[in-house]
Amino acid sequence: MTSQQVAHALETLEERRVPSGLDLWPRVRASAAAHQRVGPSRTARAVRVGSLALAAVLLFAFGATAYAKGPVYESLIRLFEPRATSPVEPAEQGVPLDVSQTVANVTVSVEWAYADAGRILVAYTVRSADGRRYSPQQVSLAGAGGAQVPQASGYGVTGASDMLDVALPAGEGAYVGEFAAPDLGAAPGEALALHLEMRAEELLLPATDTASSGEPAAGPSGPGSVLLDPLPNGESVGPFLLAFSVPVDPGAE
Amino acid sequence: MEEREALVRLKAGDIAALEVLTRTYQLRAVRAADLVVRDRTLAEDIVAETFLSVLRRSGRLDASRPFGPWFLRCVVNNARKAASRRERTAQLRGEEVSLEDLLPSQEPGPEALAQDAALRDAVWAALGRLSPEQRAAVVQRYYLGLSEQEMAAASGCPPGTIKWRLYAARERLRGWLYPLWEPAPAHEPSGSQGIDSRKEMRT
Repeated sequence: MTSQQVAHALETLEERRVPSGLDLWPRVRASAAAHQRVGPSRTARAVRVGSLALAAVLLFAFGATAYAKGPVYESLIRLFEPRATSPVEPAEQGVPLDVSQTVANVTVSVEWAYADAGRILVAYTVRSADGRRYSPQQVSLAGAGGAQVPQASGYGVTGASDMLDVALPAGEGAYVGEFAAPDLGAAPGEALALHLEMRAEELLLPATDTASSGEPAAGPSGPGSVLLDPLPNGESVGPFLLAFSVPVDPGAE
Repeated sequence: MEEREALVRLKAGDIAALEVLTRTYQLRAVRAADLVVRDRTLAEDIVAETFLSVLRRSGRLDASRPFGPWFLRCVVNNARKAASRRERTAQLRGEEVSLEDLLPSQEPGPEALAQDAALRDAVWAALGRLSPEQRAAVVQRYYLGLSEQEMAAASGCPPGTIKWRLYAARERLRGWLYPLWEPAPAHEPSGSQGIDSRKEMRT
């Protein structure tokens, strides 16, 4: 068996399995446009909206209470990571951390982090001593030299969920932030020094019967359109500055 | 727009430049990924996501270096990891068919097309019996035409590990597919140091 025969067999196989008319560009273009629309300046709001939506689903759709069999971030990552090309196995990859800071009555704790050459995942909790709920705002990540790492996405949970098999105490939320393109100078296997900075804003959920103002919509309107009131701004606490390090996974490019 | 110009424009945030790179490398990339993960849909997912990761880290691109080899190495690396995950959680039930059942008859006959199809099936089944790491090594070496040094750099493994993976994969393939192949020519005594197939495979 020669190298040429192997190469020829592989070529012939793939010519039949993947026709030359393949066109991924429409799909890549749509995803790329979505990527550009969600820039760093809108990330905090995206995280807030995402966590709010998820919290609402979890609180109102899953009434039964269960207790987490493992860290909450593991459940979150397992739920959301399958969307990624190279999903992380939280129990096998990344490093557990225990870095906390308390400002006023709010504590932010970094519990786990993972880094490879393409992205960084940071799992953290925000909890208050008095049961009031706070959500992360203005989240940013920076390397040791101060280079900013843009946040690509984020997700979180508060309350209880059978689906996630978690039940968080009142006033506690768990979040995972995904940060893209970490060009921070650490080679695979080396420790990457990071600084997570954020504020925590009290979440003031409106009563169910006042979620909509009932006013006619000023913009596009119709039988299917409802004007939602913006959430009122709650107390802002911070800044929180948490330093930690995580080894760069050599398995990803 | 040429590749270098596309890279410069992509670094400046021009998404249209990504179209040039996508249309240039998508076919080769999906075929390479498919050989490793053995699932065309998953292969397309991997390649699309790898193009997006290029966009996400476009600020780090070096426009003076060739994009294709680096990108294809990333694709195969991602495909290898996806295949490993999949094989950890699922049995490859479809691979249980005996290779002997797939081998074409040694009798020369008029059904050349049918024989070609049987040959492809046999190669495909044999590839499926390799580990994801061995499959990725075979694809990088014989489909993408990377040198062993390039493969070692891409995977972060020592060159000796790459050499061993290739040797083991080739020996397993040779054992399974021996009846299908013509004897190696005299100038390539063991098949281990074949020609640089990259020259032939450029499209």
